[in-house]
Amino acid sequence: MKADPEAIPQSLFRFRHAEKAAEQEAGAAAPSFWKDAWLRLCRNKGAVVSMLLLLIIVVVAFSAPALAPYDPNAQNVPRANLPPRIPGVGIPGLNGYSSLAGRPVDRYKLAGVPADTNYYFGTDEFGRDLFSRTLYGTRISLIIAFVAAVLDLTIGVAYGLTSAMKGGRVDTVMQRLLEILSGIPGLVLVVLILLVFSSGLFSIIFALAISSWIPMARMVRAQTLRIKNMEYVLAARALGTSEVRIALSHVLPNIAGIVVVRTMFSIPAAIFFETFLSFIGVGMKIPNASLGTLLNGGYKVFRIYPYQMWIPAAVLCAIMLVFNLFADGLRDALDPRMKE
Amino acid sequence: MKRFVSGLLTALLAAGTALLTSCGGTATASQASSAGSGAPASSAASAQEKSKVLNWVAPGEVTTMDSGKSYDVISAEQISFQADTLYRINEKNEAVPNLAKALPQVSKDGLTATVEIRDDARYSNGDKITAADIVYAAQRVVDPATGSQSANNLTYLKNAKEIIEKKLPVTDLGVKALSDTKLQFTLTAPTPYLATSLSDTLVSPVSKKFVESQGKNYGLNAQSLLASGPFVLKDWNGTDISWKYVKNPYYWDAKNIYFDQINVQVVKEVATGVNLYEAGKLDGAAVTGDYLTLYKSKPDLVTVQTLRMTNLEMGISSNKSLQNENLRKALLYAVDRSELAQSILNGGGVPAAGIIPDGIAVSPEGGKSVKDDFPKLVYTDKKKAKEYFAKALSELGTKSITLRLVTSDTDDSIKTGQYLQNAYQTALPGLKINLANVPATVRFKEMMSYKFDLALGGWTGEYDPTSYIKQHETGYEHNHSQWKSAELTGIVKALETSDGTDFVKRWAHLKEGNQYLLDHAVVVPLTQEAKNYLVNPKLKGYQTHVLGTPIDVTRARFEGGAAS
Amino acid sequence: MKNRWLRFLGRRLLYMALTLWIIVTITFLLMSFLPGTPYNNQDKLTAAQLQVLNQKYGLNQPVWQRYLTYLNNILHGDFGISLQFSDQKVTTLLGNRVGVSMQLGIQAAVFGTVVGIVLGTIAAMKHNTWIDTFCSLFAIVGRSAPNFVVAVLLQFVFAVTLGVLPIGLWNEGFRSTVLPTLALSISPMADSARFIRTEMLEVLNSDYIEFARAKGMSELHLVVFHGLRNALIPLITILGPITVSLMTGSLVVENIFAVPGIGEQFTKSVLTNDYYTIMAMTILFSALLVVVIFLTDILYQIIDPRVRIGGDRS
Repeated sequence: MKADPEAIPQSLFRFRHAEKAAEQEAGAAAPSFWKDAWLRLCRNKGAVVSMLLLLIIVVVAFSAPALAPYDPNAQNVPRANLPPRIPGVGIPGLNGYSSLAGRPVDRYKLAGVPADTNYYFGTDEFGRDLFSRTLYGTRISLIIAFVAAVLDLTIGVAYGLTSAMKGGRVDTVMQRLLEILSGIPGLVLVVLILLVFSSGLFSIIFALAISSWIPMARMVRAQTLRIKNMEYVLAARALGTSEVRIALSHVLPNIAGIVVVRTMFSIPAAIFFETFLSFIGVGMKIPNASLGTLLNGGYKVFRIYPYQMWIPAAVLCAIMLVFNLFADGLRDALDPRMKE
Repeated sequence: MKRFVSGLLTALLAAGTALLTSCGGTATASQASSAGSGAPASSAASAQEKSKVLNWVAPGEVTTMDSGKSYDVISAEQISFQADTLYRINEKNEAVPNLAKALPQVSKDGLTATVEIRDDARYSNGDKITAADIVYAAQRVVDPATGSQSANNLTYLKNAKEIIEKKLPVTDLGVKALSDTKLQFTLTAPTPYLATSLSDTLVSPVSKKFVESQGKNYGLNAQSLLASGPFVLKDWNGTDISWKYVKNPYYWDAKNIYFDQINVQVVKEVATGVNLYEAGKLDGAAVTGDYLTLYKSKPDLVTVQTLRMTNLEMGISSNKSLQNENLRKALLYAVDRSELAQSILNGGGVPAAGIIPDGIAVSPEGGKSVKDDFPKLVYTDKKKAKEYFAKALSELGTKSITLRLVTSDTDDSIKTGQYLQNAYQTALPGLKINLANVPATVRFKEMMSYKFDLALGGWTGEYDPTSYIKQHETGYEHNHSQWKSAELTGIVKALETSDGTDFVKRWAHLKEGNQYLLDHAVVVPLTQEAKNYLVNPKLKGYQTHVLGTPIDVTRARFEGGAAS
Repeated sequence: MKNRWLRFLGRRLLYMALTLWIIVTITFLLMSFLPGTPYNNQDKLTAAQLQVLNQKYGLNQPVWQRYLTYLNNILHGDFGISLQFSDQKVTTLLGNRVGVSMQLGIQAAVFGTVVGIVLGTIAAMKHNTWIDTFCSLFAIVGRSAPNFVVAVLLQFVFAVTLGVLPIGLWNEGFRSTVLPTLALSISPMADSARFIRTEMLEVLNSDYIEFARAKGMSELHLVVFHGLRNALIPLITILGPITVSLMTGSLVVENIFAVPGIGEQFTKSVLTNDYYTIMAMTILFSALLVVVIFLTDILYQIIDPRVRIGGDRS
């Protein structure tokens, strides 16, 4: 059987000159690549589901003021340390009972709480509603996670790329600068920040901006060094493609996978960093909660009120899980080699 | 190159597997090893030996074992194992003779006192302890060259202040050895608290010969210390988190010392301490916070009040609103101290009765405690507080007041701060409190610059209750509120000088000072700190006291068989 | 080649010294702005006494003079005294404790990495199976659980409930190190598992591996000699700094297991203005960091000869 080239309709062909024109129109990044990536992302079931979940978490956390049944900072000391009670759920641990001298006791009755008042996640040592605090705390932690991710993706990636692409003396200087930055004790800086600014989001971002992106910068540099000497990059360079363009459209997509993984890791690190700052007095203004401060309070009383540790830990893990699934999908979508 | 890489990887993997298997197999493999050389003290000892070994606990590292330099409770407690004192504090917070033969003989004007010390007392190297050693110890504390942060604690001795400030030589200090066993103290002013003050390890005997032989290294490790007390320190090289004491055979009262050895372990995490205690690895554990609720009404729990008063201090000089007495009174009456002490601090404190902590001293007539004898001026009355607050608002011509509350970054401070914020905002609508929790050095700097609104501070005295009143006296450096009052200055002056030997008058002046400070609401007393311990119920004969070290186990013993 | 190496080595050593010196200088300057005094009994000290103490410790001099004295001292091996442990030498303080933290840190780094590599490799080989899902899940959970939570759980399960390992303290030799090591190893484990999986997947799907596979090489051989070699490169970049931070101790984990490490000292020294301890800890930390980064660069060169030392190929 022989194919007749004349029989193929013209519409199946795409002409190189047309594509080139479109490319030039859109500037450095080829639109087809990002569009492709988006389409590939939408085809990945796990990624879509996790994207939706992530969206839900973000929406829920940011509508905390509307959803929270109580003021997260309102104390009610006589109702301190009540275990979770969810109406209609009889499972031990969620029914308001906890053991006293070996026997389960209805803590709500003991504290004189009316039958129609429920604390879904229990209360803390001040009698504050942990459900409301978790909602608000998630919001703050998400903001911090977002800031950390943005810092990683901007300063970290740009620094690493520049350092590796420029090479030579610039690279050496930039690397020594990184060593100096990570060598100076952050805590000294943090205490000094405290003298200049008061606690709050701004201080946290400032403290994060100093050092949180350093591992990312190192990693991006290492990866770029590897890729910039690969044949296709050399070929692009031989063709006269500019360094910036090589970095953005040849190197970056190829290291996207590792960048995404690294970003995911910097998120919990940032959340715990905020906790640490809170206790020095630079983090969120007390009594505002974050997932980190909830966890930190919880681990200390783990033997007595286990739910105070499990709940924030579970929320944090859930967020991380969704983030990771989404990131995996994102990476697959961004990786040009995964094209079918 | 390839070979090298593969070799490296194999080695890495092998190491990993080795670790994996050793962790998996620890249950069996490790039991064998613990019976071997790996485990001293805690496990291998036989039951009979163990009965005379105490496994004790410390909440943090000792900052110093040098009796002349200690300034914190942890160090003072550890030093008291190995340094003998002239007097000891008993369960009733009274001084009883120890190294001294009897209570001090005080002259009529109350300005000189003589103390006779035992002639059978020896150091752990067998050298005799003489009166000159006490003189040397006291001189060493005030000597600027020593750099003792507790030097001010000896200002009851004549010329101490001038020596500390380098205005007089150390030999001018008001303590002399009249003979090998006779001491004479010259005092700044008459005081009823001389004997209790002399129970401090700051004036424990120190051998000049030994200190000079050690030079710069004195007190830096177990070898460079000489014990005058019941035990000798071992295995401590300056910054450890575990060490031990062995019985001092030369100690004059060695026959009443039961334990041959005391192992001390620093445990900072309360939960870990409780776990170790429950597992029988420790005979005592410091317990705080929520863990107290687990032990309420169990024989293991021992609570001791301390001299630490936690107060809400006010920057009266720097904040216009706080210069309004009605506002300060609103703050004084609005807070529920028993809820704070019981529910928030979980027994880590008791409600403050006044400016002066309970237990520090008793009335000269009838021996009544501060709590019983002083009028009850610190209480909760939210209605009254509201009235005062309304008055304050109208006087200040405003509808709301915002104050910043500075606290340290310790657990209890943060908790108390949060509680106060909520309590005040709820009880006094229109009042807004902003919390700032900062490192202790930062809080302290703010307070010492006298520029702050509210601060969670406090005062820890020694033996003389005067310091609690004096803290607020016009010219005093640590008068953080910068409250100026000729009346209070008069009271403090009377306490320090003119009251002389008339201890009844003196007590009346203390009462007056307390009343003055609370009438003007210069400070808001909150709680008197309490320390809580879990102690093996078989341990008997230990003492707890407000003065000195909270819990003294040097003369304790196990009863009813071996330790747990 | 040899000459080139020597030149590289000499230059790097010079850079390392320079880096350390800059870190020391900046830290010293910043530290002098810390508020408050280094004396712990600050509630009681009078101004006159403060003056006497400052004179004793040379803190009444201007910063530049103190800085020069300090530089001179450390060049002579004198790192000063710790003010929170009255007059104890900083070298004694760190000397007593650094070994413990380093042992735990290295154990945790090695164990965590090895297990992580194994998990990551298995996950990549069994891509898109339940094994892969399990390994990834483990890595994610491990990364989201802070080490103090892990430490508390390990202590509760293995020491309190099962009683097979000590609750804490440092007196049972290797047994005492097991739980703290495990708690510390969770995050390097999760990190390396995740990185290895990502990189390995990329490598295993590449053309040259397909080619080798087609030639009939065994899968294990492929994974170990081709996959791992490439996958290790990004890992090494992060592993260096992670190991250094593990070696310099963990505040909470060391406290939970009552282990005599240096973890708490850094935080405590900064919060109490213990100047010379801050400096000594900074020097220790940054010296380790600089050396580890140097070693990392050399290791790159060995594993991936395409990366040239000095990075001056272009």
